[in-house]
Amino acid sequence: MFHNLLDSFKSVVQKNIIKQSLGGNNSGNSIIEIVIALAIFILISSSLASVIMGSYNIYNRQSEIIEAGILAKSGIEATRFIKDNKWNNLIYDQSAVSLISDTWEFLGEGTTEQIGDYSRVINFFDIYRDENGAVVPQASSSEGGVYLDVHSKRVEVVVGWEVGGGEILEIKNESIFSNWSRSIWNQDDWSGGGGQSLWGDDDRYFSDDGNIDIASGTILLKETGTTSLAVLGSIESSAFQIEENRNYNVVEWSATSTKTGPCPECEARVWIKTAPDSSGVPGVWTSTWSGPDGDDGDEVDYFATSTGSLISTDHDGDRWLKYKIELIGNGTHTPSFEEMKISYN
Amino acid sequence: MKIKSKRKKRGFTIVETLVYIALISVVLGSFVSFGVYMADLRVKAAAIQTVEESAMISLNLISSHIKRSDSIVIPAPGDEATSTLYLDMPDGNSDIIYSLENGILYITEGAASAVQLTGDGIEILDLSFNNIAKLNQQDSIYINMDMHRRNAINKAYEYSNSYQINLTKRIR
Repeated sequence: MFHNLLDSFKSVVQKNIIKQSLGGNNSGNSIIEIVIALAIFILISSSLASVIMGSYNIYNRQSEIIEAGILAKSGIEATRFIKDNKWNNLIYDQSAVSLISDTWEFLGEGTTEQIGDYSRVINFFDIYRDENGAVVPQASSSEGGVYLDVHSKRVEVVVGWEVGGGEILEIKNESIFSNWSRSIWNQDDWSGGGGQSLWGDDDRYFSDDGNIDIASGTILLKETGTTSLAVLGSIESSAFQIEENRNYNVVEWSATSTKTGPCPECEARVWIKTAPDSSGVPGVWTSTWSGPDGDDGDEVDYFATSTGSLISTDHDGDRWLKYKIELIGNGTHTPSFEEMKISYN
Repeated sequence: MKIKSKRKKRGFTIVETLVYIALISVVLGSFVSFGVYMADLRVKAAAIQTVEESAMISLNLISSHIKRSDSIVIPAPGDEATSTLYLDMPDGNSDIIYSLENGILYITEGAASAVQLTGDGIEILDLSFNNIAKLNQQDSIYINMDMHRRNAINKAYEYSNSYQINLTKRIR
C-alpha cells in the first residue's frame, strides 16, 4: 500500500517536471508576485528619480553660488572703499558692511548682514611682520623684532545660505589689504625752533616746555648740568591740515635709546589733538590730548608703539591735527626722537 | 490509483484585471507627471541659469574695466545715478561706455559700434550706476541691475532677479 502511494507520487512529480520543462505550465504570476515586482520597481525608480532630482538641485545651486559670489565680491569691494578712504576704520574682528547715506560703513563688532536668503559677514585678521618685513604667523608676535603691521589686514568675506535640512553652504572671498596708498605728514627736523602754530616750515614746531634740546635736529632731553639731563620734556607741533573728505589713520615714529641698554626708563609718548576746519584755520580742538582710545575726555592713554597705532574713529572728519611728544629719561640718558609720521588717506 | 492531470486554462479574473490596470495607471501616471515636472523644472532652471550667468558675465566685465580705468567720467562723484557708465581708460586704450537701450546692455569701445552684451532673451528692467565717492575720494561705483528672462510662450517660465554690487577703481 505504502509503496503504491509512493509510486503514484513519483509519477505525478515526474509528469510535472516534464510539463514544466516543456513550458506547459502557463499559470502566470500571482498578485503577490506582481506587488513584489512593483515594489522593487518603485524602489529602483525612486532611487533613479532622486539621483535625477539631485543633479537638478546641483544645477540650481549653481545659480545660488553665482548670487553668493556677487555678494562676496561686493563685500570685498565695499571694504576696499572704506580702506581707501578710512583705513583707521578697520578696527573690528568681525563686522557687517552697509551702504549708509551713500557711503559704505561698518556696522560694528560682531554684526552680520542679512541680504535676502544670504547672510554676509566680514572677518579681519591682523598681519605680523619680522624685522625684514616678511609676514610671520601671529604666534611669533612675542619674538623680538616681530611687530603688528598696522598698514596691512587680511580680510575675509563669508556669504552663507541654507540649502534645506539645516545644511549651510558658504562662499569665502579673501584679500590682503594694504594701506600703501596713504599720504604721510612727516617731520624729522625740529631745529628751526618753536612759534609756528600752523604748519609751514618743516623744521619748526609750536612750543616746548624748555626741557628739550632740538639743536641737532632730533628731539633730546636738555642738559640741566654737566652730567645731568632733564627727566621729562615735551614739545607741541604746528597744526597740519588735510584736504576735505580725507582721514587721519596712523601715528608712528622713529626713536632710539628707548627702554633699552643703560636706560630702561627712557620712553617716548605721543598724543594728538584734532579739529574740524573753520574757514582755513582750525576750529575747536578736541578738549584733551588723545591716545589710541580717542577723544574720551582724559589723557590717560597715549600712543606708545613706534611701529604704528591706529587713530581712533573719534577723529574722523577732522582736517586739522597736531601732536605732542613727551620724552622720559632717567637723568643721565635721553631718548632720541628722530622722525614723526602721521598717515592719512 | 489513477491520477488525472487536468490542465486548467483560464484568463485573469475581472478583479485581477482591474488591479493590474490600476497598478499600471499609477506607474504610468507617475512616470508622466515626473517627466512633465522634470521638463518644467529644466525650463525654469535654464531661465534662472541664463539670467544669473548673464548678470555674472556683465558685472565681471564692468568690474574689470572699472578697476583698470584712469577715471570715471560718467557718473562723476556727487552726480545723480545714471544708466550710462563712461570710463576713461589708460593711454593707448579706447574709452569705454556701457549703456542701456531697450532693455539691452551695450558696450562701446572708442569709435567702434556698440556691441550687444546681453542676449535677446534677457531684458534689463533697471540699470543704475551711482558714483558714491566724494571729493578727494577714489571713484567707487554702486551698480543696481534688475535682470529679466523673457519667455513669449509661457509666463510661468520667466525669471527676474536684482543685483547690487559695489566696484571701486584701483589706486595707481
